[in-house]
Amino acid sequence: MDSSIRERMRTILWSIGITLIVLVVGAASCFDLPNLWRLAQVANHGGVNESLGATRELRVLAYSSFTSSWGPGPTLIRMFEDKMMKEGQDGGKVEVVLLQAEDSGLLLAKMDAFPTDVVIGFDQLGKRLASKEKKWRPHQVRNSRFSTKDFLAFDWSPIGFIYRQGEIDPPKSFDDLLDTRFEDTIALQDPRSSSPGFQFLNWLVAEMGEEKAFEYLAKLKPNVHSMSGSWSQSYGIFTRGLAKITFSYATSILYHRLSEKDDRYRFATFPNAHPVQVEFAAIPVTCQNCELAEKFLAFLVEPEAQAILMNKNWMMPVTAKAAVGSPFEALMSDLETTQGLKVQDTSLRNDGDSSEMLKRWREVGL
Amino acid sequence: MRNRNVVLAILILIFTSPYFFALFVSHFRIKIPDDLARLLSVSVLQAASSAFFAVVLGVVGAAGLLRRSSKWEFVALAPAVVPAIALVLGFFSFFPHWKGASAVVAAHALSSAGLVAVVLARQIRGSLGASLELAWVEGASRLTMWYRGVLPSLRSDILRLGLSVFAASLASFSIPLLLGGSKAVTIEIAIHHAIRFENSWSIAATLSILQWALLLIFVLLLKTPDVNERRPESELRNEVGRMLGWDGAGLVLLIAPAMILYSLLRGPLLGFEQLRSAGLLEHRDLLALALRGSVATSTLAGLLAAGVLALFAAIYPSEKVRVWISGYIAPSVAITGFATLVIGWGQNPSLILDVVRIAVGAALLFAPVLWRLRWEQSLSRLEGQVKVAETLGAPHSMIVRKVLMPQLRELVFWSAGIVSFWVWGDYALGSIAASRQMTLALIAKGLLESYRLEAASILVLVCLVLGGISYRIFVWGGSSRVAR
Repeated sequence: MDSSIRERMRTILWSIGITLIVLVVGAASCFDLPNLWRLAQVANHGGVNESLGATRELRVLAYSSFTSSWGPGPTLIRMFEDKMMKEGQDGGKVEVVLLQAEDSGLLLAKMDAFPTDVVIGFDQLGKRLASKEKKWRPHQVRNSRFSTKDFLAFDWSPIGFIYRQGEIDPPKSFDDLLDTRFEDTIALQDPRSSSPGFQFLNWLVAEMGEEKAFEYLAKLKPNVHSMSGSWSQSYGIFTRGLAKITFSYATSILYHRLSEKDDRYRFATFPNAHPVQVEFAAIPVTCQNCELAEKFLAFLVEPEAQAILMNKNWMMPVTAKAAVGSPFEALMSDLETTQGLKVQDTSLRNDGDSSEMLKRWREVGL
Repeated sequence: MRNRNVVLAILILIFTSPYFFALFVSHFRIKIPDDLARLLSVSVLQAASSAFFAVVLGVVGAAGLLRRSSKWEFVALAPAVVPAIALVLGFFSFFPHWKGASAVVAAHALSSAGLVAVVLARQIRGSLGASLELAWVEGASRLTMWYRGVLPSLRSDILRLGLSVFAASLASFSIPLLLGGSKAVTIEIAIHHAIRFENSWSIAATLSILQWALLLIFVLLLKTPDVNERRPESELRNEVGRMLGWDGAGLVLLIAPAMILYSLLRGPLLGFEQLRSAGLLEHRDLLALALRGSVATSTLAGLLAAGVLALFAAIYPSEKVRVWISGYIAPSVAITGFATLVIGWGQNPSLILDVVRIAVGAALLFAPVLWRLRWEQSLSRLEGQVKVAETLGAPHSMIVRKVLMPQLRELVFWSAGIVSFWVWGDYALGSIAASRQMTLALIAKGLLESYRLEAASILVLVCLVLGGISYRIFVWGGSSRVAR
């Protein structure tokens, strides 16, 4: 074949190819082809009007580890969609769109850009900021532990230091943590970007007062192995054996026990009452599907959703009966009775200016 | 002419829009952060150290490249060309505990050293050949030739390259975001923090304008090194190159490619196990969504960036404007990411909006880089032809059709290809602009952050392979059209 014809053929093929790619990609992005395919199948079975006409969308904004495949988000939304479908109270299909903020610090910033019906993932500090900056719709769920009028608590856990048995003699108190045996072994989190990181700082300030807390942090510096931007990063450093202790949830040890069959992970109980990390969900007043949002919040504290939160978020349920007979109940019972764990919401004890605290934390240079 | 000026004004407005967005959101309030002096010193010190080590490694690497064929340049350039996520993965794999300013400096230096080495090696082979031949014939030793001949002659090139790495390191976001830790807070990271932690747009706007002004000064000081320029090499000059070269020196250029390669290939079995335990094999719909998102985002970003550059070329701005465009290094990644949120602001989130946001942001960020890398020089080379055509009375539309576009077509497609390749690996822009984990790189970032490194390596490998295919498709398209 003449080379010019070959070149022309090549050009035509390329043009067709790139046009097809652009069209397919564009169509896939704009119209969500798998859904179109499903709808076409429904249409072939005569049910298109019902399915198309009544689909309602619930937009749920959460932090990335909640929405990730290893978090509880994808399973929870699937369960909620199925539940709504089964109940069929409003005769229509519900579709939950899971939106993500990079971390809980960005929830408020992203709420304006991505209008949402439910926001998930405020901790005690984030809740305080959120109630100052935005307006929230009171939820209808009653008698839920830790909840307030606008913010529904859906899981919680005591927090403290986790270590591997046999690897290190565990710390027994704040003073003990300053011991040289812990030199370069502790993985902590940046309190500006990490909720447990802030809890640790808040705990110190609540227990010691601001001046002594920062003096303590300066003394702790040689023992700090790393200061990570997020809990998952510091916990990754710990699980890969690079650090020997990390600040984390008491329930983290159940992940290793149940998922990895590794029983070496332990929670170091201090004589001081440990802080609790509580996660909240809330409905902004700007919600579009407010009733559906209400139902989603109510669903979050139902036993089946609480079970998912226990097993995927590795946190204690707020609905006590969800934990009955589970390893979570056994863990709390063991920590409280055998190890004398006391818990308290330290965020209620310290109502100081967090920006000033964070500024001082930066000056310590951890 | 008036139309061209209007289009040019619109394009310039679009490119500077992230700054206007930041100023608008901050109600045009300037707020200087308390720790500005520390921020500036950390940023400048980080960028200066990155430039210093990149140049040192680059000079050593150039000595190694002189003994090798030009095929090795491909390996040396790889760390500078592949998306940052690949190098970050290498660092996480080799030095999992290494965070902070020193890690950022090391990553920047290793990423740029190859580029410095390639440019210097070409300069030595090309422009210094004749004088070095003479020194060689007269019996000068290798060390003398380097100290008395090569380094003094290349002083201005080395300075330009150093400034170039300095500017790139100062504006870098992806690497400090994951490797910086809590101490290495550069201006770019501080912009991100200002919005993320304090919701303070006035601080973000102030810092981004300050950073832009700093970069503008440095970029105007330097002329972009021309990586693509090739000079004829005589046999004798190659001999000189071989005499100046040192085999072992080339090893420094292999550090980064070896780290990337090892981290990509390590433990694929464990990686699949991690993918399973991370629930990705269970929730395959998330992977499918991310794959679609990556294809759509990278394709659209490539087309947009190339389209915008072609439009700039079609306008054929005056030399002064071309220099201004070169001086406009690129807006802050953090500011651009947040600015793209105005696309579809307050509307129901959708995949298409996410795709458009990232693609527009990537076009705004990468188009100025490509302009400096190849477009400015290509347009300058065509200046004579354009002038002749204008003198002969050809209308501008004809000059665009008959002179500019036929000769720039290959460059347009190459630009689309390289941007699409880079966007396959983008996680920094996407994590701000997207409403969900809708690209493979964003999932890989999540896996990296939780130290599921083997699983991340699988996704990064997929991104690089598919990004490479996307690049090839574009480049193939460009070359076939030129051939016709």
